Amino acid sequence: MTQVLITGAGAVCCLGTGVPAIWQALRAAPAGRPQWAPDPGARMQLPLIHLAPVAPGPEGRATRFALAAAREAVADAGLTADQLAGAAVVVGTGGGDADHWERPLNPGRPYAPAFTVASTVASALGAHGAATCVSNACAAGGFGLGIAADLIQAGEAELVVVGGAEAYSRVALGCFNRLGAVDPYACRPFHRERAGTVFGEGAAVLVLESADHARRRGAVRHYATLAGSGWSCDAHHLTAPAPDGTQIQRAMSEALAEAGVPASAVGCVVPHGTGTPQGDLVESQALGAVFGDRLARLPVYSLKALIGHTAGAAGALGALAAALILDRRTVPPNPALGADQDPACAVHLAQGDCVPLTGRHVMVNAFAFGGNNVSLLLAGREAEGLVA
Amino acid sequence: MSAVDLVVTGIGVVSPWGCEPAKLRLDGEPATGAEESWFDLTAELGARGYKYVPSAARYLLAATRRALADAGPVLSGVPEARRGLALGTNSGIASVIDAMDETVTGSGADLLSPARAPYFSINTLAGRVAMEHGVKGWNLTLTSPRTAGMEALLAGDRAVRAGRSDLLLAGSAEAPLPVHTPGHDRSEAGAAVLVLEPHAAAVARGATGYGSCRTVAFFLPPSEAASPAAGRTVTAAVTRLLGEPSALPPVIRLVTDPSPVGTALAARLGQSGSRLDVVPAGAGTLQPVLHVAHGLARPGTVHLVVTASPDGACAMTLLRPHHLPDQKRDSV
Repeated sequence: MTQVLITGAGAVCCLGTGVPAIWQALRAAPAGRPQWAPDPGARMQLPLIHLAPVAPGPEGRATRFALAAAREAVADAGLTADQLAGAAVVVGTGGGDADHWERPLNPGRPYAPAFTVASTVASALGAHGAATCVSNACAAGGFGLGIAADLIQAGEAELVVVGGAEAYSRVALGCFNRLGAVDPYACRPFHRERAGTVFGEGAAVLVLESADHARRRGAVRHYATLAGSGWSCDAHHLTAPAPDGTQIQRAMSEALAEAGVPASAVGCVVPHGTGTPQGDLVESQALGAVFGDRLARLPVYSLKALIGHTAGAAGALGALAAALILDRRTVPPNPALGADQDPACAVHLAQGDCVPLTGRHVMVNAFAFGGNNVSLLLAGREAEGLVA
Repeated sequence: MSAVDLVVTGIGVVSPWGCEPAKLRLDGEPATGAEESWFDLTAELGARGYKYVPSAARYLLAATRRALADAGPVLSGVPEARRGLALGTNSGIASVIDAMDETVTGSGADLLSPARAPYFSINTLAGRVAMEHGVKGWNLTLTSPRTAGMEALLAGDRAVRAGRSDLLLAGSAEAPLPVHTPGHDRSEAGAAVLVLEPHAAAVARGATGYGSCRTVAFFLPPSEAASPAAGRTVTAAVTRLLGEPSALPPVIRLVTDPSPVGTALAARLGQSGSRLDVVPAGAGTLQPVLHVAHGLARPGTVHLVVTASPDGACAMTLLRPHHLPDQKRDSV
């Protein structure tokens, strides 16, 4: 197996722009509330969203998030233009540039597909490898990372700029309202009164490269290794998870198997955990099946409680959080749930203060409509035979 | 990554260019016939159960059924957890989104159809197929402009070689853009699905394959599509695909448009000495996959299908068709 290193990171979400600002906010774990979408066309009961800051520009909103994160990530990795010319780009996005599809429509604008996010990033970076847009809904960013690692494992690329990006979509939010899947209060994963999710905007982009490539170009650091991914599909229902969680378990187990480590090596899980009643319950039970009694003391970091459900960006933002947890050897606190945690969701949500990471690996889950499941396993530097 | 050689053992197509892969009429302008002239929902899928299913999903379901019927009893030998599906689409839900947006901004989200609401998410097209055929290994939806159908072949092949499944369904599905959308006149409609399985598995069950195909993808930034660096990118892609840049087949089919990227790629390929057939592209991912399907089902002179989109995404698929007995060709 080729070792796949994470050598650069960039991100934007409702907590701010840039990895340092976001990490600082994660450590503080502010109790944030979503806002009403500033959209007079959003005729729905709960037009709630966590908006993220974005620079103006001619591109669609999701693309602008992706560009900001990508530029930060390649600068963080210290990549030159010559090095970037050989890079592939993979971006996961559920809705792409929804603002190009939705009203007000601009009949004067030439036709452009909504899913030009990856190609616009590739163009901005001068990357000549494949530019692939992945649209597995809320698992798109996670699948994007899995595809990127496979590109490197297959020898098709040595360097991949990969992530996920998602922006406000009136239609997506309207459909979630119609399906009764929006929590009127906040995104409250594993809360006893959770009533659905709340979307958030944002993007995370990581630089992945083979260890050989990183060594040859003299990369000065890496956050972690992307050691494995596991993919599965429920093939059960378009919107609801299969109640038995079998395929979710398989995704997690295959990520562990690909990395060649047992479940006991995992020191933290960044769950999919969106706040939907059934989804959180099924994931909790699947985690129990994989981690057994350890689940009661295995830190679970419920990222969406802070930034909302960033859909196609969620898997990438989860992977970013995992990489930072491994890099800093610290699990940030979850927002306080206390006695409000659903006893049926028997996960350990550390609250109050940061806690030291005790394991050498962190797992990230991303699930989606269509029953698409992906689990990623990241390894810390101390788990490697090779440290850059 | 293992060295699995996949062969195409089934092809299914529903499209206004025709529904028989060996007889597709692909040399002219995009087909624009009314759906009634080429797609019979009841005949393809049955009379019930698809009222709220969007057109692109219906096409994809029908093409998948045709492909699996053509492949023979392949599913019975592959556990559900070992089946994978990769779909490329650009405009598969564009009209669905547009209609939903009209409802939300008009009478409000409460009047959206709850049965239709899940289809705001483009991956539900492939999700519907996964439910129908027990595809539990994995399921990818790719949306890169124009190239996503060919990328589905590439990503699917890579996933099988990574050990993620033993069977691959891959292809493209599109539905017309909203009538008021720029580009509507070049809309695509229909679906094409290929069944791919390891050569050894096909031989073991006595399947007659159409041959194999192999895809590479690359990117030409539009602002430098004609630069020397872009030329080196094209040469490298050809080398990855063929082993050496001089080995291009005598006839190349390029599905593209007069954008700087399409023009530059045509110029590069035109210098190779091969005959270059440039086919006007539609607004989606379907036509390149139809050319792949046709090239396998009716082996002729075209062994390399190339596509390029104005934003820079490019892909090439090399066809290695078997020379089938006429009976097999004519039965598809």
